[in-house]
Amino acid sequence: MRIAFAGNPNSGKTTMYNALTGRSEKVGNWGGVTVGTKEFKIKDEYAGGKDVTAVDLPGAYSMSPFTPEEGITSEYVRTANPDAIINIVDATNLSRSLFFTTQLLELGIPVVVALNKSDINEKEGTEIDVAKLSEKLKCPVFETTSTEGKGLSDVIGKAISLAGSSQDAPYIQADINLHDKAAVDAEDRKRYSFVNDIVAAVEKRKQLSSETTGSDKADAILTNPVAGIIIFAAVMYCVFWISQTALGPAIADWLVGWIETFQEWVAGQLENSPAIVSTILADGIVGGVGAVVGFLPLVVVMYFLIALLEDCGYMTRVSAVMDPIFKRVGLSGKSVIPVVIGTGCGIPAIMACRTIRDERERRATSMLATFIPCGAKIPVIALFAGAFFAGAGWVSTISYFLGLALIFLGALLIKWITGYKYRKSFFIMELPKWKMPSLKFAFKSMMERARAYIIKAATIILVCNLVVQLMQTYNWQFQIVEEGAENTSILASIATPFAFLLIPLGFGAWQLAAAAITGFIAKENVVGTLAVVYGLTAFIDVDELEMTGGANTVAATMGMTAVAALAYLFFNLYTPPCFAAIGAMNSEMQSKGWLWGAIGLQLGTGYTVAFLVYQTGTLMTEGHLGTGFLPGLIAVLCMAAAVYFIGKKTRAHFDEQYELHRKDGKQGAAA
Amino acid sequence: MNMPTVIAVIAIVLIVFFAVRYIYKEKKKGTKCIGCPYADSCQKHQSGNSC
Amino acid sequence: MQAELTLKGITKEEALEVKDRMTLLEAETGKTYTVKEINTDDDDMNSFLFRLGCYEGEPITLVSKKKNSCIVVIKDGRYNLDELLSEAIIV
Repeated sequence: MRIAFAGNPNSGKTTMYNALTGRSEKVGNWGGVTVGTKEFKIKDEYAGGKDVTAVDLPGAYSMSPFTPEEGITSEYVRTANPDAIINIVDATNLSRSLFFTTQLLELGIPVVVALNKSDINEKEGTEIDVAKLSEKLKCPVFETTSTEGKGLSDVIGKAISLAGSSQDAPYIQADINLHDKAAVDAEDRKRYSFVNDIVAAVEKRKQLSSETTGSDKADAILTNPVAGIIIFAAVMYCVFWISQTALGPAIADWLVGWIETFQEWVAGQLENSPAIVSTILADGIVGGVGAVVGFLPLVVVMYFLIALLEDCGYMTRVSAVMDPIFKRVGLSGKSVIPVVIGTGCGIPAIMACRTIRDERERRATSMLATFIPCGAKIPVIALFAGAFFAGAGWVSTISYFLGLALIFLGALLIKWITGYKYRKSFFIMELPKWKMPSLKFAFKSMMERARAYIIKAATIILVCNLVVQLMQTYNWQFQIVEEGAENTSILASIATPFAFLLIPLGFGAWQLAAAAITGFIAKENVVGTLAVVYGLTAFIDVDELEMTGGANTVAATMGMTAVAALAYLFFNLYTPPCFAAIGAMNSEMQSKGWLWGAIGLQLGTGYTVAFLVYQTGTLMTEGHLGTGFLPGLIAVLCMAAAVYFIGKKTRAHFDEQYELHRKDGKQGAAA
Repeated sequence: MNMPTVIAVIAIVLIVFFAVRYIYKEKKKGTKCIGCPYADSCQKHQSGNSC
Repeated sequence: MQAELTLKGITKEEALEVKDRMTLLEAETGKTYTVKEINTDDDDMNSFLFRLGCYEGEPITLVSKKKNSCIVVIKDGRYNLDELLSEAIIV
């Protein structure tokens, strides 16, 4: 038996779904968090021993879709024939929500209405006559608070008992020609007045929603173009500072100590064993995985803080304040949400682009969102910040703000390439009520991420490290590489050609090239591979940092200048993300041209940024250009030329297309 | 071969076996990103091309 | 950019001509108005606004406004509207 969860955006569908199934799907205090369908079995305590599957759907305002994710919902309830529908209604906005409810009631599938967020109504003194509403809608209605699990068993119990039966509609749309716009409009108007009558009869408000409240005053400041942006920058800086300079490393320090002790113990036990066994277990598995796990505290502290931000309702205000800036470069204010989610993981960020209505804006955002360093890149940042810059906090802050700058520049470039003509791009965003962020929820979301991080480290990164280790230990004749002849190993011979390309960026060592390549499987691999190839584990070590101004063991082993290290860090941050994120981009863009464009753009950006950082940095610190300036310059110029020609070609093509559209009037502007 | 070596070799084999088995299982399920809490929804979108 | 300016010009002129019709950006903060007309030049957008409860004859409250955006209350929800939308809603 399948029960679908439908309702307006941000009414709490996923929160209820999570409570009923025990899952922890992503929730947030804004509309459009869920962008795809999710299915899971409902817990026995609610299902009463029956096999019931809950289907969570993206929020929708009505059956006629406006953005792609709304389309998923209307298509699902129309075609997938769920046995019952639980319509989650935001009880604080009954007048809008019931429009969709009356449409759902017409489908003939039994509907149970859950008046969610009833705790807020209680606080505000809004009363809803549930019995009367139920009678008017001809379907059962229950008050719920899904954040506390209140009323859920009533709703689900009723839905299960009704499943498979039929539903009387309180309002039936007249038989009209659905292609006749005027008739449809008139019909929708009638439906709305029907809804308005119901609301007038059942709802008693103490506080009119049109009254200006304290939170409105806060919103006015937070959405102010100047103050709002300063506040946003400050908030994000605090998030990075706490997670990557203050609290995170303090916990990491302690964790790394334990990992190191364990590694030494393992190595000690294997003193009399063949070197290969000791290397694989102590250096490869324990050392490589340990190096990655050592950064876990930094990552989870950040996830915790981001979860708090997402839960309180701040994201929509940021979106509103950023809209004018993003619009200027050809994106939309909604692009902010993918960018902020992107600090966690690029894949949900790319998927969150689905809430953007304009196709070009959507594709451009999903192409650029991964310039923001994701959680997997934090270990890489922290490693280099610690080893070469004495753990300076500015390295991570700069990494994020440079990512943001690259998004703007990239957007301008895409705007130019696609020959973006001024088109109307509307921005409307519901500002949800402020909510005290739940520490419990943030903690849960943090643990979920920590679990995922450890699983990843123990599986994919472990295997990668092992492969790297073996490839480094053996040469093509499958003989153990002798000391002093490391360059003959399989790994070295594969990575050397790539390293050659990276000479103009200041890091032509094959070890670094190998780490960058394994980074495409998962970015944490950069750290793991470096740990293995250089035989290092303790990347976070406060005692060592106090040695001569940043030139600690890690830096000495890698043999890079600080400038080259920064270039290498930026190269890893802004080249294409992991394969999984590229896959997500592929499925969101639905266009091979855009996908390859995205990969090309990211490769080009990573290369160019690293080139510029290394060459200008070397010029500034040492008074001369770095190695391989000329070949690097030629490479960068070639990329610029390629961009120019692609742009020219698409623009010519676009102009033709645009002309055609213009002939039939308004269509062009709406396309 | 002394005792620690034997244990170490067994440990390596077991660890790698379980890691590879986990990856293989996840890949078979169609998960794109191992361990990712959002992996489910990513997969869903792959199959249903509703947008 | 050009189109944006022309668009702005037209709506402003129109608003000046008829005193009892103005865009949201010309309205007064804190007051509730009745929507007189919605014209975004985009059918999908018009019907989207409709589904939110923003259509002719319905009340709309201006909570706060900035140079080129505003926050309104439609039904019981608060929304942030950009310049284009604020000017497309005539009250």
